[in-house]
Amino acid sequence: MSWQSLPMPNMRYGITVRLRADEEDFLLPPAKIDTTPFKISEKLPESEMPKTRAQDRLEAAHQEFLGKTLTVTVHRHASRPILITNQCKGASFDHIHIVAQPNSKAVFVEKNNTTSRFTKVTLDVGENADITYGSKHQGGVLWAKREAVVRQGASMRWCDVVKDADLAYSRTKTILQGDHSQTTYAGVFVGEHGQYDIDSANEHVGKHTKSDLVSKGVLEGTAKAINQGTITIQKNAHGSDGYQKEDVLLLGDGAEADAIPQLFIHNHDVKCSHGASVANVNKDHLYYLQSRGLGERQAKDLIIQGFLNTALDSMPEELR
Amino acid sequence: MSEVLTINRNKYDIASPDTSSKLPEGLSEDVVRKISQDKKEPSWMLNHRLKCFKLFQQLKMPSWGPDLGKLNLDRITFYAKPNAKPNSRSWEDVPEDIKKTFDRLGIPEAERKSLAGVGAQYESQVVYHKLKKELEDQGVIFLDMDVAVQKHPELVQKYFMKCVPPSLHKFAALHGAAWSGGTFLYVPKGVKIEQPLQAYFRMNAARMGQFEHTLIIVEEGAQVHYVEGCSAPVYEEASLHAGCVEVFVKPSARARYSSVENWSKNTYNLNTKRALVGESAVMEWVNGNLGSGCTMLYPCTVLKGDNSKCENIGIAFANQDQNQDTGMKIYHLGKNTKSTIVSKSISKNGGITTYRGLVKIAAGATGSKSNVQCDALMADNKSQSNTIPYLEILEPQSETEHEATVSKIQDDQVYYLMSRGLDRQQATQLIVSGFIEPIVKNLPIEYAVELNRLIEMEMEDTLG
Repeated sequence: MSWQSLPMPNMRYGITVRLRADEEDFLLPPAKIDTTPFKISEKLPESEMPKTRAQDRLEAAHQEFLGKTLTVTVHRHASRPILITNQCKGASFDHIHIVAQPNSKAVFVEKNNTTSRFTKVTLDVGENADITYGSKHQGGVLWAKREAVVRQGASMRWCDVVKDADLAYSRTKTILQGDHSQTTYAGVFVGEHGQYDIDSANEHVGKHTKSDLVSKGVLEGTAKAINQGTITIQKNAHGSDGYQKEDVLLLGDGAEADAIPQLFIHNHDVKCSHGASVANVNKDHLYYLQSRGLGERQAKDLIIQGFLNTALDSMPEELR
Repeated sequence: MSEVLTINRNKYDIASPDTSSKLPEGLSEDVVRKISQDKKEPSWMLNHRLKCFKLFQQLKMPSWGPDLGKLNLDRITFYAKPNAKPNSRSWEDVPEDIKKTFDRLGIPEAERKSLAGVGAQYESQVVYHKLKKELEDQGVIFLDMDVAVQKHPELVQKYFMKCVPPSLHKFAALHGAAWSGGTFLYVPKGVKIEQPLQAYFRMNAARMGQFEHTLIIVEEGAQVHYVEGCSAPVYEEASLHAGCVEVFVKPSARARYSSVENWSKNTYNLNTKRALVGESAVMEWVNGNLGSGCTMLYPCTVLKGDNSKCENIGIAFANQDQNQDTGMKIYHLGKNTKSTIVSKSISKNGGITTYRGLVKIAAGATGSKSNVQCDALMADNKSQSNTIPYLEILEPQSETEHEATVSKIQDDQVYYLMSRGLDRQQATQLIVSGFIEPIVKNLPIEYAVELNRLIEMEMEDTLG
C-alpha cells in the first residue's frame, strides 16, 4: 500500500507551507533527504527498533522516506545530559528509539540545525527509570510524533521548544502503563508567523498515576496556533491525578489561537483538572513596568519572559 | 404550597389514555403539507416548511457526539392533535384527562401563585394559553405560535427562523418542516415584566415527536424572564424532541431563559436554542438537563452588539442509560462583549456527561472577555465524564479563561458531616446540594425546589 493512500491528518489551517510543487496535498522538501547519522555524546548499547503502523499520510510519508535511526538502551544512571546531535543539512526523516532499563536514569537533549525535520521519538521507560527528553526546533518545518510508555514507578519528563517555525505539527503521547508512574510535559512555542499545531495527550492506565502538563505559547504578527491537550483516565486508574494548563499570549493583530483542553474520565476516584487562557499582555502590568522606567518593548519582553519562565524553568539548561 | 413543592417522580411517568388524532408515522412531503393544511397556514409558511423538508433530506446526521443509531425517524409520529380545543383561556375548558396531567405537574397552581402568564402544550397543540390582563394592556403579546402566524404575520415573517436558520443542521431543518405549537412572546419597548412567564411541554403518546417553536422578541429596554418545563412518560420505544428557541434581545434589553428539562429516559432531546443580542443588552440562560436518554443541546448566544453580555448557567445529570452531551456556544462579535459560563455535571450508575462548548472571539471584538468554568462530580466508577471546550480566539485584545475540574464526592467531606450527626445518605445529598447551589439559586422558587428534589431522588441509592 502506498503512503499516499492514507488520509491526511486533520489540520485546521491545512498545510500552508509548500514543500514541493509536483504533488498535490503532501509535498516533499526540495532539498535532498540527508541521511548523515546522528552523533551521540555517549556510547550506548543498541536496542531493537519497534515496528509502528502509520495512522495518516504524513506518518506514512515519514516511514517511506525514513533516512536515519538511532536506537539505544540506557542501563544505568547517566551523570551528564546525553546530547543527540543531528548534523543535517537537508531534510531529515528520522526515528529515535530509546529503551530505558529498570532503575536507569538519563537526560537526553536533541541538538538540531536542520529546518526541515520529520521526526519520530519512541521511548520505553522501564520500572523505576527516570527519563527526560528535551528537544528544540527553530524555523522551517517540524513534524514530530513522540510517544512514551511508562512502566511501574517510572517517570517521564518531556521538554519541547519550538521557535519561529513556518509549520510545526507536534504530537506527544504518554501512556502511564504501570502503577505509580508519572509524567510531566513542559512545552513552549514562540512565533511571528506560521502555524503551530501542538497536541499533547496523557493516558492514565495504571493506578495512582500522575500527569502534569504546562504549555505556553506566545504569538506575534500573524502566527496561528491550535493547542490541544488531552487527559484520559482509564477504568482501572484509581487514585490518579491529572493536571493540564494551556496558556497563550496573543500579541499580533493577525494572530489567532485555539485552545482545546479535553478530559475523558472513566474512573471517579481521581483528581483531574485543567485550565486554559488566551489573552494579551495585561495592561496594568505593562503600565507598572513603564512607570519604573522601562520602554514599552522592554516591558513587554520582560512580561513575556516571565510568562514563559514557568515552563522554561523546569527544562535542561541546553534548551532555555 | 406544599402540594406544588412535593415532587414524586411517578407524576411524570404516568401516561394518560391516548385519545389524540395522529398523522401517519415518519416524515414525508405529504405529512408536511397535511400539518400546514390542518393549521390553515398562509402559503409563505407552507413554502418555508417544504424548503426545510428538502434541506432535511439533504443534510447529514451529525458525525460526532452521542450515538443516534437507535433513533428511527420512520417510527416517529410527527403530528398528533389532542382531543381538545386549542388555546383555552380557562383551565375549565381543558378536557378533564389533560387538565389532570397538568394538575399533577402543578402548573395551574403555580400560575395562580407566581407567574405572569402560562402556556401549556400537549403533543403538537397548545391547549392552554393565558397572559395577565395588565400585561396585555401594555402591548405584550404572548400567544401560541400557531395563532401568532395567523394574527401577527408581519412580526412572525420578520423573525421566524432568522436566528436559527434551517440550514444550521439536520434537526433544525426537520424542525422547520414539522414544527407545531410553542410560544410567541413579544415584549414592546421599555416594558419590564417582573414575574416570569411559563410554558410547559408534555408529550403523552408513545413514539411521539414534539417540535415546538419558541420565538421571543424583547424590544429596546424591555425585560423578561421566560421559564420552560418539559416532561413525558416512559415508553419502550424512543421519542424525539427537536424544538427550537429563538430569542432576539434588542439594544439595552434583558432576557432570561430558564428551562428544566425532564423528558423520560427514552427521549432523544435534540433541541436548538439561540439568542441574538444587541448593543448593551443582556442574555441569561439557565439550563437544567435531567431527563432524556440522549441529549444534544448547545444553547448558543451571538453577542452582536457592542457591550453586550451573556451569562450561562447549566447543570446536567446523567443516570443509568443517559448520555447528556451539552454545552454553551458563544460568539463574540461586538466590542467589549462579555460572557461567563458555569457548567456543573453529575454522573452516576454508568451515565455519561459531556461538556462540549465553544467560545469564539471574532477579529475586531476588542476588549471582549470570556470565562468558562466546568465542574463535574462522579458518583461511582461506572460513570463517565468528558470535558471538551473549544476556545477560538481571533482577536489579540481580548481575554479568555477556561477551568475545569472532575472529582468524586470526597470521603473526608462525607465523614465530616457524618461526625456532625448526619447519616451517609443525608451527608451525600448535602454535598450534592452544595455543588449545584449556584444554579438552583438562579431558578424561580418552585423550579429550584423541583430541581433539588429530583436530584435528591436520583441520588438516593448512590451510597449507603
